[in-house]
Parts: sequence; C-alpha cells; structure tokens
Amino acid sequence: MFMTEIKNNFSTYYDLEVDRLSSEINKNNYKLVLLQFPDGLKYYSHEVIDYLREKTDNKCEFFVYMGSCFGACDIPLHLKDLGFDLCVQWGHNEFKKNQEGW
Amino acid sequence: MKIRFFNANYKREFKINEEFFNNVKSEFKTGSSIAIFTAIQFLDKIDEISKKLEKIGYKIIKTTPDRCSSQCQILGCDSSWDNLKLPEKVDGFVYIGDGYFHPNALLFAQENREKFIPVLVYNIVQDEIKTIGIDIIEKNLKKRKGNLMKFYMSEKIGVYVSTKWGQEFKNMSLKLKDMYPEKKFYFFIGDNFNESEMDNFSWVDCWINTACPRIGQDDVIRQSKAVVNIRDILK
Repeated sequence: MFMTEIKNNFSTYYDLEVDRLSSEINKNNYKLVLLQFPDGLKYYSHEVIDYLREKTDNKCEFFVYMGSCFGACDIPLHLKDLGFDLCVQWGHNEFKKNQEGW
Repeated sequence: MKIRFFNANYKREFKINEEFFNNVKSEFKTGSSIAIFTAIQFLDKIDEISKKLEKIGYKIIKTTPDRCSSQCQILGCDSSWDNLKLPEKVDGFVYIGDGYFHPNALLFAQENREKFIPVLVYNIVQDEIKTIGIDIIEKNLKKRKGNLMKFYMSEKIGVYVSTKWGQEFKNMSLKLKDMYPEKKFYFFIGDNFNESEMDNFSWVDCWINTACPRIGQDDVIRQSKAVVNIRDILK
C-alpha cells in the first residue's frame, strides 16, 4: 500500500496549478513564498518545492507552513511581518466572513 | 503578504459509478428532495450528477451555505442547519467528494432537528459509496449535552478567542459577561486551541470555544475538560 502511495506525485489527483504559480512568482519577482498545504498534500510538499525552484531558477525561496490547514481561516496572517511576498494555500477558496459569528 | 488560493481541482478522469444511483434509489424514495453538496475540488462534477438524479425522478436542492463562494460547496464549519440555507423540506443529503470531514458537517447540522436525515457519501477518489447516519456522531452528541450541563453548573469559565481569520469573535465573547452575570469569565486568545494548552489552566471549570465550531463538535470526545461552542449558549 505504501509503495503504491509513493509512486503517486503531487499532480496525480489534483491540479495544483504550479505552472500558473511559478509564472506569477517570476512575473512579480517574488523572493520569499509561504506554501500552505492541507494534510493530504503535505507529503508532496518537497516535490512541489523542487518543481517551483526549478521553474523560478532558484531565485525564490519557499517555506512550508507547519500548522493546521483545514480551511481558508487557517491562513497564517500572524506571519505577515516576516517578509513573505506571497502566501499560497491549496485546497480552499475565499470564504465570506461573518462579522457576527457563525 | 499577498494571498492566493488554488482550488486544487480533482483532475482524474471521472465516470459516475452506476452503483451510486442504486444506492440513492434504495436510500431515498423517488420524488424526494435531495440537497447535494461537495468540497471545492469536486465542484465541476456536481452538474452531471444532479442532472442524472433529476432524470431518475429526484428534486435536487442546491444552496450556497453562509460562508461559501459557490453553490453546492460546503465548508467544514457549515455544521449548523441555518448555515446551509436549506428549504424546510429536505428528504436526503448527497455528498460528492473525498473523506468524511465535510459530510459529517451535514450530520452535526441536524443536531436539533426533529427527524434525522441520512447522508449518502459518494467518495469519487476511492470510488466508495456509503450512507452515514446519526450513529457516527452519537457519542459526540451525548458528550455535547453533558458539556452543556457542565457549563450551566460551572463558575469559572475560560473563553477561547482565536486569532485565525474569520474566527476572531472577541466582541461576541465579551457579551457573555452580561448574559451570564452569575459566572466568572476569563478570556484567552491564541492561534491553536488544544488540550495541552488547556491543561495549563486547570482551574477553568468549562471552556467556551469561539473558534471553529468543529472543535466543540468533533473534538469533544477527545477533550478531558468540557468544551462548549459559543453558539450553544448565546441567549
């Protein structure tokens, strides 16, 4: 079972749009990017980073957020002052914030 | 720091398993109203499945829950009936996707309903079809009732406010003092509400969770201290 799992790669099941992302990084000359994966994709983070490094000519560095990623609410806004140009979260989209509570 | 979301759309070739329709037929009478939901990765599969369900005689209900951007999308936190924006008559739920985090939200949403409606889960990644019902969350519901009793009997209440985007309900938390003047409220703020942090404040009799509602729904069976969602005690 484990052998079957590791034969898969980050693009086996889901379209992570890494080419679109690398183009965006190159176009904007981003140097530091924070990547946030839901649990099911965390295993593949090294493959995504290797791919992105290649596509960005090693001009950008990537950090993986080591914390929960259950939804868009998990965007680590507390890291906003650490110099990241971009935070990328896979598997979720923008939600409508309810000011009054849920 | 700019923020970008990528849906991570499911990209494998997909052909509807006919067994799914057999399961729908055995679970729900023809003519029933079925509400259909999915996670964002599988949104493009909904149209085809809905049309086929309509063709075999079902009325399909499509709503956009409170916090969602797309019709038929469900978030894990859409675990209350009001959030789902459903009409009064719903005979069944169908969930298309992967895993049980989202379909379990449809179970928790029914906690205070008179009649419990089953959720038929079609996991298109594993090609598995399964109906889930109240038995899945029965332990949780019992623990939730017990926790609520504990809250009403407790004096020292710890109120956890999250710093996470969309979960930061500080103002609502502060209103609790007026709602329950006989209790002593102590307010906490953090990024992660977990058991080991709670242990540091062992003098708290009962915790109020104002962050993700699933903490007070799924996690209650693992928590040693009573945790109640703020929604459960708002007057």
